[in-house]
Amino acid sequence: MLRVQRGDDEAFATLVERYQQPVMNLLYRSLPDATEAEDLAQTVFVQVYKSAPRYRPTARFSTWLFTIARNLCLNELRRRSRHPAEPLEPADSATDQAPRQYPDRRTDGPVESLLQGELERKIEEAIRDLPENQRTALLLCQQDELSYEDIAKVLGCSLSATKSLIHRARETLKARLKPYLRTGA
Amino acid sequence: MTTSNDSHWQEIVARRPMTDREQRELAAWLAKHPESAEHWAGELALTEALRKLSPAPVPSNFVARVMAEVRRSEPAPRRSRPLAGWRWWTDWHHALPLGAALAALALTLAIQAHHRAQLRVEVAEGLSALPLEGLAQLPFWQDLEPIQALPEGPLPSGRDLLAALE
Repeated sequence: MLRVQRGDDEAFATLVERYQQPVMNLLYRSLPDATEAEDLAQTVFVQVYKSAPRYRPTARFSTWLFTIARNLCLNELRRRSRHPAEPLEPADSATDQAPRQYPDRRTDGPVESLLQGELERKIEEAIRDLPENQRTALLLCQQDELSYEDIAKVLGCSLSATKSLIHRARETLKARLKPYLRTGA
Repeated sequence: MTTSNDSHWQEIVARRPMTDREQRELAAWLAKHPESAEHWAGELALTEALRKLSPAPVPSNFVARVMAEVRRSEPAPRRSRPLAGWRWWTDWHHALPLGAALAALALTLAIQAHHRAQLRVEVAEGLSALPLEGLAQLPFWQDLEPIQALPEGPLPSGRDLLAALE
């Protein structure tokens, strides 16, 4: 990040490469539209680039990054609740000029893929329906590099409150997914 | 397992699958506490299900798109940066003409100040040459209008001034 502050674009590209998946995991499971999640992830990194001169290495970079991601996600969720029909950006915006290219990750057979896909849909639905702070706490908890203390910093609450949010989120998911977990896990 | 151990293990399963050793310890404990078996089965199943979630789809050209967007939006902040603080001073495009104007202004002021100082010295020298004993009785000291009526431009010499006043 210090290299990015000195205007090293190659270092910034490395950062994007390193953190694109964790950021997308958070946004994809927080927003109902994959395309909007992707556009928002792009906005997150552009914001990181623009804010780089203000970054101080007192906190971990990932904590700072996820704080930006969470704030932008919250803004988008609020905007959606006010204007439910409007997309994040106009369809003809410059961000849509480059076509999206997705790698094919399918490895299982068709039946296994179908069952796993169905289970994932149920889990993702259940996660998306959680209150925002519980959902974000749960999703950040899946990031290996973030400690509970880091998650508390991103959420702006105490350590015990963070653990409580994660616990409540898991209890809700267990209750809602009980039939699927027994057969699918 | 104590309550603190239970809490510790809860934190572990919330983040990752248990290691083999942790699983063995848990199984040994559950053998003695079968009433908790259902709770822990749910916990472990949820952890496993969350772990198996596919990563969110990321376009293979995502980095390139971010970099393109960064470059596209880059000129705006850079253009506004020079006026934001004193950094514009380092930009010679702005500093050179401004510096030249400031130098010209300073030179003009210095020349004017020097000219006034010279004039003051000349007048002082002229006045010091006057016969001071006669000067005190002159009636013009009661009326300053003659002095105010002196012409504009270079001051006359001391003797001319005295002749004019008399």
